Amino acid sequence: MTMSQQTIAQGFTDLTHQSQQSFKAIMDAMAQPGKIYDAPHKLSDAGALNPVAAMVALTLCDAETLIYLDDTLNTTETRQFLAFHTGAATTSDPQKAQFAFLSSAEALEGDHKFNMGKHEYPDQSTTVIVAVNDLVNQAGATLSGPGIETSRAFASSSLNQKFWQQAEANNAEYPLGIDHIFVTETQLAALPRSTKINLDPAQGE
Amino acid sequence: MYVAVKGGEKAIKNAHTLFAAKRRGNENVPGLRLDQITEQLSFAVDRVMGEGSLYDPELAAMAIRQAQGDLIEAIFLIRAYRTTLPRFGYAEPIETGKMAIERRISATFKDLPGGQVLGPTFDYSHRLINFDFDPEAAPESPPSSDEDIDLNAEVPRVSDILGKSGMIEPDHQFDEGHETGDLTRTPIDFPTDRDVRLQNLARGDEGFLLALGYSTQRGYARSHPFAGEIRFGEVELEFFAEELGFAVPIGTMEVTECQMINQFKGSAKAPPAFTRGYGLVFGQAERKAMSMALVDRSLRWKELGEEFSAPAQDQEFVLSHSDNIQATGFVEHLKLPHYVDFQAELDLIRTMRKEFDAQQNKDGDDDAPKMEAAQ
Amino acid sequence: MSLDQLTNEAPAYNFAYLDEQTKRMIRRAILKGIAVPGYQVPFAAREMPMPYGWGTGGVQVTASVLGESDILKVIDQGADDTTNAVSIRNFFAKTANVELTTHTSEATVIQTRHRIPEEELQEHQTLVYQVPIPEPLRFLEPRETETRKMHALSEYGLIHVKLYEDIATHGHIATTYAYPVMVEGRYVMDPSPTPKFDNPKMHKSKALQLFGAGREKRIYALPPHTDVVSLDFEDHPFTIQEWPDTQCAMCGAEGVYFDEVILDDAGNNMFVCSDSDYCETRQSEGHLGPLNADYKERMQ
Repeated sequence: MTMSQQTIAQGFTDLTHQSQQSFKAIMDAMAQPGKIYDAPHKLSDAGALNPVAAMVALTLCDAETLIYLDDTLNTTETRQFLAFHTGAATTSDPQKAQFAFLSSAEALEGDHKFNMGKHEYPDQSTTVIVAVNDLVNQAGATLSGPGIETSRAFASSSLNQKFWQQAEANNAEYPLGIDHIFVTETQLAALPRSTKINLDPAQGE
Repeated sequence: MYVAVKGGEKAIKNAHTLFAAKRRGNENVPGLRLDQITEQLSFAVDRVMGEGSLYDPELAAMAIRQAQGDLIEAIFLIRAYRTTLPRFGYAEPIETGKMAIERRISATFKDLPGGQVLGPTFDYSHRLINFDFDPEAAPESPPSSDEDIDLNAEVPRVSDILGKSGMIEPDHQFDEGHETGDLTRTPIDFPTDRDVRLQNLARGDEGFLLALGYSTQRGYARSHPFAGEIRFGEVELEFFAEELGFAVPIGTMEVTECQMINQFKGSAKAPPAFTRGYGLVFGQAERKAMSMALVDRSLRWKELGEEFSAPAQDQEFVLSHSDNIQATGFVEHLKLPHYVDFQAELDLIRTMRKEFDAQQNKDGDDDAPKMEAAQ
Repeated sequence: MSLDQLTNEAPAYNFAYLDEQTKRMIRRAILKGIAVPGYQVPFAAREMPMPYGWGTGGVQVTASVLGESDILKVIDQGADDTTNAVSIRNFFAKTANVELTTHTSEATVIQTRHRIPEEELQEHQTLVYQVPIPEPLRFLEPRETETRKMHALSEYGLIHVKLYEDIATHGHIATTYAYPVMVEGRYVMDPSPTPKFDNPKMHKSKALQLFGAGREKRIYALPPHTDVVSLDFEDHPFTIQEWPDTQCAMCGAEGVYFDEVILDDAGNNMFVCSDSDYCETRQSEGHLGPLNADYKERMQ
């Protein structure tokens, strides 16, 4: 065992059940966009990844997936942690990544940088995991669509107007588009491409 | 933890007990040993390994015994087991040119380097049931050769010999960066390349491929084939070890390889030359390897600029229906209860009958024959 | 993964049979299915120890979502004691050792073939369908390359034409099960061979619905509260099966989906609930149908 391997933090201690519990939280979050879930497992010291992002990575990534890391997350420690626990390789090409881990939503602003999928295969798109400071079901964006009974208020202090414009543009391309998973230090919520976004609910009133 | 439910539970248990008893048959007859199957039913073992796509004669024998000789059932057992095995990696491509030949025939050249080796075969035997067959009797010992044979001599493939003169198309080349597909890990995306097609055919049902290959001979996308070469024997298997930096031998396996040579007059896309159809199967399985080669060739119509006219050329049709485990599952699923759907159909037919009768009555001249009256 | 991890794990088979790598692959497909409701996600279905066509897709999906604390119910034709439901339940009893139930309301995961329970499902529940042919356009166009294009372009004229031809020939749509639905106005989806009676239950269901087709290697999904509309025409609106003046011979229920039971060869029959748990629950609550043994007792 080399020195660097000794410093790699622990992953799941019970792979089968912990990854199932983690998946269940991610699946429920994706099925009920904007609803906030407590992460069942938090993996600390995962390089620059926050503990919930690390949980998502170990649940979904393996040797069959390619991971993109933004500049902040793309550290030796992060790469070692991911390589050791998932076997997934990293790529610098956002179009090739099945999963992109981002330290902030800034990387999503502007043009469609990540893979939106193809009309024949909309599933061949990138899922982005975005670290945010907080998640609240309060005024911000009003979400509606599959998984939401009527509408759901959703916001994060880390998600600015530019992000939401991008997210609207993403939804406009449906069924193409990227799916978002937002992760704080303890919680997660998802915003799939299918979710319709109303940015200014006040205006509607 | 278990919740008892009615009827079905007990019926299944009893059915399986009954079946186990039937499997054993008369207990006065000695039970089958695995070595009896591997030694004396080798064609069955080879077929199960090939279509089960797992090279393990003893396991195949175990499956054949458990399946009471139902080979598709045995293949199913092997497949279901195979899918649970961890993957350590992919072996290096085997080199059939370096095969320890047991049998090697060519229908295209009377003599050729390496010679014609008839080897063990059903061919030229008269299909007469041997009523005096004594299973315990020692067979006549095979004659040893008078000639000095260099067992280590490489026997070049007929396609390589023809290739030197440019008379046959070269070996199939993929674009740079092409990764060999694996249909057990990635679902087939049509149209698919030759690597995945060959994998599908190698696992495909012998009977299905035989019928398709046969259809090409009878004019459904005729491909003018010659059995360029059929060889059977043992090849060495190598695995590239990362930590050593080179490939190490990990064992041997028996395979049958068939290279069909097909006349080709040329098209807008390719010059006149002989073309190839390829078959490779575990063990000794010539019928399968030849059928595979015929179907492989006919599936190449597009690449060679040929006309499309027959089922054997249709890759979606061929590749979607070649797997006998998928086929048997879906055909046999008709045995499952369908009460609910049948009730829905019954309801519809009743309604439509009522409407039909009402219509008949409305049209109803007295001379219009009624169904009941006619009977 | 280290060699130790690969070889030193004690149990012969993993929890819920599938290895972790396979579960991850299926879980990724499930997430895509949820993100694009009604779209069929290709996945590398494994060979299972039961035949293709006998629920391998549903079993793989269930095995990938199931956890230790889940309570599992398995039905076939609406009933818990149908042979294949028993077989699949036994499979999970053996490989996952989760709690099992026949009560719809107690279950957190329900695997089904051909029916949706009569009792309304709730948000904490997941319904897993076994699907034989996931492609709703398959019987109109057998080629995957063609149907994939049709879905990509949202070009669904063909299926409307087929349904309209039914009307022209028979006076009404002659599709009684696997009746195609439109999901969120985008994808035409096969609801699996459930009777069209069950189609309205899919619409805006509170439960997550997952569909697994093992042989055809496709997974698709409906998140809760998703729009699922049965295809129809203005002058020929979608209708479901009805059994006027019929009640369940065992529990007296009306307006449910019925199994017809032949009583003799003189044409006598009775109707009983296809949903066995629904029927038994009603009986235990004191609802009795005319052929129920307790009914006669009560009448005397």
